[in-house]
Amino acid sequence: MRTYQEELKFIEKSSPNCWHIKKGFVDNMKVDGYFYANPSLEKLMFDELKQSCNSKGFGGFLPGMKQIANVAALPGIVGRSVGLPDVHSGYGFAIGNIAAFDVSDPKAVVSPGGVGFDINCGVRLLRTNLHLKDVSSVKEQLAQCLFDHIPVGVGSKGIIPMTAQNLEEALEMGMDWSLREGYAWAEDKEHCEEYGRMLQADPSKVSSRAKKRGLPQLGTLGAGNHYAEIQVVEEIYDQYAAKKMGIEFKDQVCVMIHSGSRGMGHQVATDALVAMEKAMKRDQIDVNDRQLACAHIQSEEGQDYLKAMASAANYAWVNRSSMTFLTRQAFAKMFKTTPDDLDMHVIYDVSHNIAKVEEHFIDNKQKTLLVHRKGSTRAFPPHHPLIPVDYQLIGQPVLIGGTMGTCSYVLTGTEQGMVETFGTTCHGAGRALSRAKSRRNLDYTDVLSALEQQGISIRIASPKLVMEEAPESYKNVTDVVDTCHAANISKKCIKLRPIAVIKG
Amino acid sequence: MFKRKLLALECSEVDRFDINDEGRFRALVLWLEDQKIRHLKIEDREPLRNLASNEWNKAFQSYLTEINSPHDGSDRKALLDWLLGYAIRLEYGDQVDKYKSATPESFKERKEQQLSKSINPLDNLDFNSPEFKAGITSLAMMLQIPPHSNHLEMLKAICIVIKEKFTQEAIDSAGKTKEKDEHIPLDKTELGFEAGDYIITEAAKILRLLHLRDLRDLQTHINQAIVAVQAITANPKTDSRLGKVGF
Amino acid sequence: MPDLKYVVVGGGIAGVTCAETLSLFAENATITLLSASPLIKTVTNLIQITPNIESFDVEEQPYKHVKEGHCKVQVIHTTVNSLCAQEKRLHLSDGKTLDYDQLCICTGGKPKLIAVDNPYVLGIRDTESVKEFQKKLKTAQRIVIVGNGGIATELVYELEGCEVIWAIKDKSISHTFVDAGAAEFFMAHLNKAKDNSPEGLSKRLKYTTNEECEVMMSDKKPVMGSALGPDWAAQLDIRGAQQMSHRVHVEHEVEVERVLSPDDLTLLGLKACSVDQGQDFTNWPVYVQLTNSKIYGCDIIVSATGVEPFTEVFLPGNNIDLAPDGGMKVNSKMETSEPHVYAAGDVCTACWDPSPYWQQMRLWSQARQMGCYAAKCMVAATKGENITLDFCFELFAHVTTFFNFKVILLGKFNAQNLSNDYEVLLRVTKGQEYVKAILHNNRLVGAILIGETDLEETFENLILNGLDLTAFKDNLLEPGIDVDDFFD
Repeated sequence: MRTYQEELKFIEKSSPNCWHIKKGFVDNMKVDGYFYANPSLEKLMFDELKQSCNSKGFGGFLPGMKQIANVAALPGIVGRSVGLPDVHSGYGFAIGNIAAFDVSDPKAVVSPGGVGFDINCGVRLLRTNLHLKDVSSVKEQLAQCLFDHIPVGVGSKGIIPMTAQNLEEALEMGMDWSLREGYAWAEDKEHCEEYGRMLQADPSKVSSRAKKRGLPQLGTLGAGNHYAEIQVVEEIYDQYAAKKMGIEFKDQVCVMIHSGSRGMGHQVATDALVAMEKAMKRDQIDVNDRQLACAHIQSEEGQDYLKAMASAANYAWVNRSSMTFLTRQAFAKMFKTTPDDLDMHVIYDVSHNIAKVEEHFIDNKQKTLLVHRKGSTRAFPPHHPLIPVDYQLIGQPVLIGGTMGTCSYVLTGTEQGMVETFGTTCHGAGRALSRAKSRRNLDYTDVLSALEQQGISIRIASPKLVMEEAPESYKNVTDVVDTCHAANISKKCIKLRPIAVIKG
Repeated sequence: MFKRKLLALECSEVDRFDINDEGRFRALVLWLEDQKIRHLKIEDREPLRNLASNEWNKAFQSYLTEINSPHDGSDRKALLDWLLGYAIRLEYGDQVDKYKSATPESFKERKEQQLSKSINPLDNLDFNSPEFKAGITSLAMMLQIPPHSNHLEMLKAICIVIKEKFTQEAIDSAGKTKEKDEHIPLDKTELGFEAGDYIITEAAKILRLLHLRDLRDLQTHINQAIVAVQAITANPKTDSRLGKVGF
Repeated sequence: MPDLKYVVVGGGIAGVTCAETLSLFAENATITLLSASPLIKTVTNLIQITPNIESFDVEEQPYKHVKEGHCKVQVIHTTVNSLCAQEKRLHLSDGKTLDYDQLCICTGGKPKLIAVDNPYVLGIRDTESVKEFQKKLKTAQRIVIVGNGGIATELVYELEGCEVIWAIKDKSISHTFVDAGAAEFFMAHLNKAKDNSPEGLSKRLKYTTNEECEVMMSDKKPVMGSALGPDWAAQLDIRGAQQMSHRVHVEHEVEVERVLSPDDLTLLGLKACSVDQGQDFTNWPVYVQLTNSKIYGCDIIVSATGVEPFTEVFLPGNNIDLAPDGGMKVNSKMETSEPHVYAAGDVCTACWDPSPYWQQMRLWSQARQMGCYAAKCMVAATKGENITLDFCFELFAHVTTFFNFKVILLGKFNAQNLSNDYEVLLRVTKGQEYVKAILHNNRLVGAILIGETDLEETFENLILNGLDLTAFKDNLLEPGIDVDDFFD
């Protein structure tokens, strides 16, 4: 094992906001690693590395830099393995890691760990023509109304009735299902990544357990880091782009919905991990970290996963569309008008956890790549053919949800991002691995020793510190967004501030 | 089998004609008498005109006698062939001079003319006449459309401008979206590539913007199509008791 | 074809959910709900915290509500005298009979009373008993609460203005739900003043009773009403005569030996003790002697020692098998051993081969799930369709509030049936949260989450995913690690 000083020899600053992880940092690196950070974020990255060198590490939790480098060692990876400023530890790939694989290379792989468990977890932003002063007096009622409308969960017989057959269709059709059933507006589809439907979806590749898990949850928000927020525009950095998105004035009210594919995505990912572990032995695929289970893109396991993943992605879009429908109902009821008159259009809908086949230039050659984006957002530049016509001049809108209570941002994609990060930018905040100062709680000893006497092993974690006590481990969303802006992989457009949060 | 003869008579039914279709057969007979043979006085054609009548065959038989047909109705094919030939003879007799001069070349020419010929008087204009060109030029000047070497291209441009700016629809919608109408700052618009030359770059930008506008129209039409389909399929269901999520 | 006749007995959560679900899925059917109480429960504001954890509110509504909401459901206010399963016929208390094609019994349970027919002993189980309790409480100085389940726990916290002696048979409080560690976590809050500041935004509308219905009820003889639902105590004014918040004294590992009147006390020459273990000279209307031989005087004894499934009227003459706990045995299609007779909720005992992460507990959340699933089974049976066990029985999940903390129980949260073959991951932040995860074969099988941990969805997914956590368990709960993001 190398010392921290030895490790540092592999890391080099390549530009004011970007660091280079050289080959050799971990075994078998096929390409270099890069990560974006400003001074405070880079300190977190290096602290993480230092702590993992000094101690036994964090068990299965690897520091971000190591994870980026391990991904760079995957077969068939091209260009670079990129970590965004909000990069933090995740299963297999770090959250905020992008990697692209050459589809034409038979050795190239697809890895469920590069997509994440919550497939197509994403953010959608709705605008309204309301002003803060229209809502501030009814804020509480409005939030309550949203709680009454958006199931922070719903059973299979809930607010949007779903049968097993409906689910099959939804998995195949994505947002087109919502459109057909009347839960979405035609314009919603236009302003949604992939037009809200991945065509390679094949519900027959989704296990029945995944469907059973997903059925009762469709149209529900979830708990943990998922939420719906009523926000107001706090600052507009790019008037022209904001106008294109229908954001006209400060204190304009918007609604942000952050949710994904719920248990359905988890089951699809879990099923694939199991299948791929077997395929790896058969196809003799070696990886640095067991969590990076993967399969050749063209193998049966690889194709099955991509089809099931696309189905789960479609599920997530139906999910967000259903919640959009319910949000519109809630607002219409509250303001006694129609969602149309409130101009409640979808500004955009982005995916955070997804793998997509895209065209990119590698060494000036156009290539068809499978781009894994985990905890990161596609950010295509102006004039890219895959972004909506309304945003052709300004670049794709990128929605950055703050962790609850903090500010959110709208960014736009840039040409430089297309070159450096496969047209990708950050997705939000994050937390660095940090070792809390050991403050073993000495209470509870009676109870614990009783258990221990029975031969039961007990692991006690340090108590949770209040956030104010440990701000140094937290990757603040503003820091993250500013770093992306400074590195010009995306541009700041709008800043939003929450006024009410709906979450499970 | 009667195609060539029907064509020669410039019969519009040429492709649809079917001798086994009694209705079409009767209609053709009437048409031949009305347009080509003109043996009977107009008022005497009445029994033939009564296509659906049970008496029609009787009238037809007497008509055949009148025009001295060598065939009775028993062999329709032979009869019709003769009838068509008779009509062609009469047609030729009417315009001997015209057909005399017919050569393969002149025929071809005529055919071409026929294609462009239509009932619309505008289509019969001579697009190359100096008056026409002058008209276009003055229209273009009025509409402030820059000149183009091909006056027909200019006409196209004029059409577009009128369609977009001066139709009732365009005027109405312009009134509505007036406040929203915004200028796109050309100099601030990124092109996405470098054309090298200032003028060409500007032109490319304009092309790009025009293309975007077309795309926008396309997208709007797509949306309209979706909405039309939704009118048939959509039936969103939620629990009617608002505020009572689940049960 | 004549309409199919579905009959549901019981106006509690299971029964109403069953009837409402039937009305959603059944075709060409008449649905009859028999309720002993003029109030029936509806679940409102169902909140799914994670796929398998749901929190909801129970609203009592006059029974017309069901009629209005689902026109196909007919509600009859009556009680059942007997069942003749052979003839598919119910005999009702008013002498009438009711025939059915499919029957679902959702009669819940009745409280186990420590002393029958003693006016000072109250069993708290259903809405009626709460009303009675409220009346008596107004003048009370001290009450004794016997029992260690959810209702007892909530009552101890919600009771204000009188002294509480809490007699529990276990070593730690709230034993039915949480382990000793969590109990210790709660102990610190036992005597804290209740925060009465109005709650902000509520995701759960509170349980309310309707005054009008109370009047209707008063002329009825006491029948078993519907069981209490979640948050039942939160908006009731349960306040005794004294001007104070809490004073709770817990007697561990005891049961009630006997209930004594003041006369008994003098007759036997026994002496009551006070909370600080001195002699108590106050004259109390009733006394309770515990198995540790202490005697406490009080105004009311509340017996919240759980319930027994209420099955008796259905048994004579029928072939309904009972489980050792007294519940009607049901298979994975909610069928009892008598054809066309289903059972759901507290009255039944699940006798199918359960998922490794599920166990039956007589809770309102399971009453609802069973009621809904029983209805689906009944419809599937009449249509001749096959039905597989609902996914909600895949993972045990329950959410409640104890001592003003959100409490979430997942899977084998108390390492049920794991003997000693498990590991525990623990994180405690005093006064803030208590997180306990149970690992078996390096996989998460259960958890107790107290406080705003935001871990419920992640843990639920980890249990259902069955992911091998060998590499993570040492640090899984470290506060410096964002587990919910890590497995996102």
